[in-house]
Amino acid sequence: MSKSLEKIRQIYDAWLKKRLPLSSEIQLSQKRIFIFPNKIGFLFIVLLGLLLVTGINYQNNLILSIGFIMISLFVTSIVATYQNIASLVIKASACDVCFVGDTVSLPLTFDNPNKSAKTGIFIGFDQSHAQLIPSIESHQNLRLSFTPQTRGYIRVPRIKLFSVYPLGLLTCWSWLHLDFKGVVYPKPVELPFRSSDGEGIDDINQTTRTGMDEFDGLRVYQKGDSLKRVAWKQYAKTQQLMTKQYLDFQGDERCLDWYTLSGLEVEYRLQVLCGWVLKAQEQQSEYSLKLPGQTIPLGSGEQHFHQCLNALALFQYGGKS
Amino acid sequence: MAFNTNLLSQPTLVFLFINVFAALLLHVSRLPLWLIVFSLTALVWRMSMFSGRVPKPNWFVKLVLVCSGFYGVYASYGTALTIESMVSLLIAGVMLKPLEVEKQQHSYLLIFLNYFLCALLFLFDRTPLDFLLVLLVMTFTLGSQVLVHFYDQPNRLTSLKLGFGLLLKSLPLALLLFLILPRLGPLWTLSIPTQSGVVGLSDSMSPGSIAELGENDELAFRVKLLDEPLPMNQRYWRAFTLSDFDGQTWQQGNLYSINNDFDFFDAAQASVRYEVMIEPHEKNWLFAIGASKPLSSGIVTQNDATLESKIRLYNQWQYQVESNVSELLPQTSLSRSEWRRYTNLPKGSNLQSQAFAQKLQKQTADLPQFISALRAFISDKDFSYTLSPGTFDGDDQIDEFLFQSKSGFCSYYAGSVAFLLRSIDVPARVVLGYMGGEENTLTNALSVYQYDAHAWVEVFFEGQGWLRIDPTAWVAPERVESGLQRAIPNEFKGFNSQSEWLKQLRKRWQAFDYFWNDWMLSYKGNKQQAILQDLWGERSANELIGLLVFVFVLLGFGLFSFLWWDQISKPVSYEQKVFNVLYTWLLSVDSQSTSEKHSAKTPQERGLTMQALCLQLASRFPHLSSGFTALNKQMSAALYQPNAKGLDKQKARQLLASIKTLKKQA
Repeated sequence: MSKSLEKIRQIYDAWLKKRLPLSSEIQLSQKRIFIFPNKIGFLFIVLLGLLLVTGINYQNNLILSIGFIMISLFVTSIVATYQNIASLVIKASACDVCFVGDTVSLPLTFDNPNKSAKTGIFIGFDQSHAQLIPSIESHQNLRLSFTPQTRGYIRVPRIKLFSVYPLGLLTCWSWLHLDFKGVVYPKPVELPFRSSDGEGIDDINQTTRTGMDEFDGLRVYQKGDSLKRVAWKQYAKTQQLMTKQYLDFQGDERCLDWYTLSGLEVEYRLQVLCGWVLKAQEQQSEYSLKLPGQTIPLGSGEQHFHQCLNALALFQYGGKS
Repeated sequence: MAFNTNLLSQPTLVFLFINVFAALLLHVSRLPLWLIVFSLTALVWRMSMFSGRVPKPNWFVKLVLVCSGFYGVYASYGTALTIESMVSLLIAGVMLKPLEVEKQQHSYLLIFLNYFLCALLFLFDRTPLDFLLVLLVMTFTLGSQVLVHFYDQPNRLTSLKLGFGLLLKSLPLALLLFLILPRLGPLWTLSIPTQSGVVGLSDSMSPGSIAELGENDELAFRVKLLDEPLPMNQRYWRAFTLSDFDGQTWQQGNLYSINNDFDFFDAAQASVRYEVMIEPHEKNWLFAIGASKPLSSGIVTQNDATLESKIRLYNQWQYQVESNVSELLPQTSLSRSEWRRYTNLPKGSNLQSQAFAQKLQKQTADLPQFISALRAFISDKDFSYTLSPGTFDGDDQIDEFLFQSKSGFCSYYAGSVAFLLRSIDVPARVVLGYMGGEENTLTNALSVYQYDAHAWVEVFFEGQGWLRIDPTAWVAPERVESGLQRAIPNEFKGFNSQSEWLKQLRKRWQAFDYFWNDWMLSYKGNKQQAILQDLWGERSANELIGLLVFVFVLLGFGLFSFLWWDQISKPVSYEQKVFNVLYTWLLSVDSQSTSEKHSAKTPQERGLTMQALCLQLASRFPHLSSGFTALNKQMSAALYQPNAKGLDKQKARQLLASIKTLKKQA
């Protein structure tokens, strides 16, 4: 049962995707607008039915005439509700950079080419968490909170835009598949820095390198920590794996190298590298980034920082979409 | 602000509650006092909740309020279902609803019930003024329904305007529906009467009974004469006859409907055809003059030649009748039991009157002479005609009336004369109905009011039938010749102005009211069919359904074409034209090469600019790239240079021509 439902859902999604393609600017046209009576509308219809039955049973033309007025009010409200959201232009602008799991606000602009203001329009990823767009006379800005779950170019799920104005009997809605310009960086993971000696594959060299750093303390072993750094003496005493931590050099030059993290998943490696970039930037050291097929030379500063993060975010991006 | 659950602002709520109050006012004249107080208390409570000092009612208080509402309705109306009690119950419910309305989603039910409440007024009142009032309250309620959806800045005036606009836009369709939608018969039989009953004749007669009606100026029914005018002194609208007298009151005797083969109506006699538009009186009786033949269905003839509807009249109704205009109701003989019934008197009742009748009989030769003697007795002696003769409390009320007070209303005279006739073994019965009718030259219809209620006597002549005699005419001929107003100018409670202007105004109002009745209230059944036939010609029911389907298809088509037009109606500029020509070219090239269809995407959605378009085309046709570059240059010169005014017609033509040559070269 749920499987077939799932299938129907997939077909519906595919149809919507085809019908409402990704775009950075959308004008709501008759092709994009859906309209249907909502719960309140059906309540209205039930009461209208009661009124008509009363009119019929009492053979009362005046009650019937009120019923007819209400029927045509319903029809008029179809047009009015449609008109209120039709021809609205929605633009997605570039959004701020962010990391996976951070909440970013998506900048939206609304333009109303019509004379009359468009009021009572809500927007959101689902109906219960929608927010009101203030009355749009000709132009209006709004930011929509969103938490990206994957790195790369920001991908925003379908946004629902809907309104029940002016009578609340019908819901008129559209799905916005908007293309926001923006890049989501991998979620940073804080792991102690491992440097490489040019080739950077051999971990034995690292011990000598790290040995030169000042010992900082112990912390609980994390997946990916080098076994060479495990405090074995501590383990023998407490049966708990602890990793020795060394203070990183300040203002040092360092190479953030993909290959030092061999044996780990691609995504995890990127996350670790991201953490290192953040740390290096924080400590204002010069750093270079080495990824398979791509090397960003030694540098520092805001631009360099974002270049590195961008490279991490978009690493093998085209391939896995 | 979340959708649907947002709190409504105070001005919005106040506006909404004012509308609820207005709907209450529509019904206020019929409501018991406690319900008005109950409603106002609930509204005032709700309003004072805004200050924050008065608490919200909790579930227990609400329960108590609901129960007290139910109890109040029970205490006022009892357990019998009547329209009033049901409407009162609904009102009690609607008036409590504001106490829990705070959010948008709660307000809808209140608004919809308010519409419902407005429309229910028409169960009781149906004048044009009532209709206007209901439309007014509905417009305001519609305004509040719009106001509920003003989330950021509620503005009552704007919402009222919008609501009114919506109503105006809806009226044409409503009118169409009113005209063409066939009226169904009642889905199930409703026999819920109104509580107070409707003013009108009661089915028995004691001496004072009709006098109450003499003060009532409500409309009883209207008559539209289809052929020729009916003289005033022939306007005796029979409703039913009373045959049983118990010493105090006259009552209906054994009546049954007769088959059509035994018909009082005589086609050879002079007759009139007319249509009666009857106000609901919640009884079965109908009004007709003399021996009648019903032309509408749903009517039966009774053995006393009165007409009766097959169902009780809870609604306005109209029927056509053809009647003989004659004082005599032909019937050759009475059966023995009928004879006994129509001459029966209680023993020992009104002995003085009985003796008087027998004495009079001895002085006269035959029945006509006896009647003349009665007439002389009543018109000569100092009898008077009045609506307020005082009350009689003795057992022998007829004696008291005939020989002491000598003043009374039609029921006194009719009852007494019937009694006197029976005293000498002549079959006689009292007829109740209406006498008269105000003529309106504008509508050519007679209006008969409640104060026209009347009682008279029918006396049986062997071998001939029932002869109508009206003792009231003996004492007050003006009553029969020109109506109650002339007969008792001082007591008359109906319209009684000498001002010509006022008389004209009343005539016009009556005409409008008549038109209203004819069009708004009785537009159904045969009348609707006749009018639709006038408009569309003779059509069968199937064709009518076909027409309905056609209208709805047309409506749907109109709606869709509107939506379509709404989308494509934007005027296309010359730049856009050039752009579109290039774009379709690109599409046709692409679809030839890749079979991919782009038709779903507009150039804007693909994010193409003019420059990009030219570049793309140039990449498809490298040998024409210089041509495309030139095109782009021309275009951007027209659009983006200082003082550029866009493409004019001529330039656009040039560009289109150059595109054509490019196409040929491709």
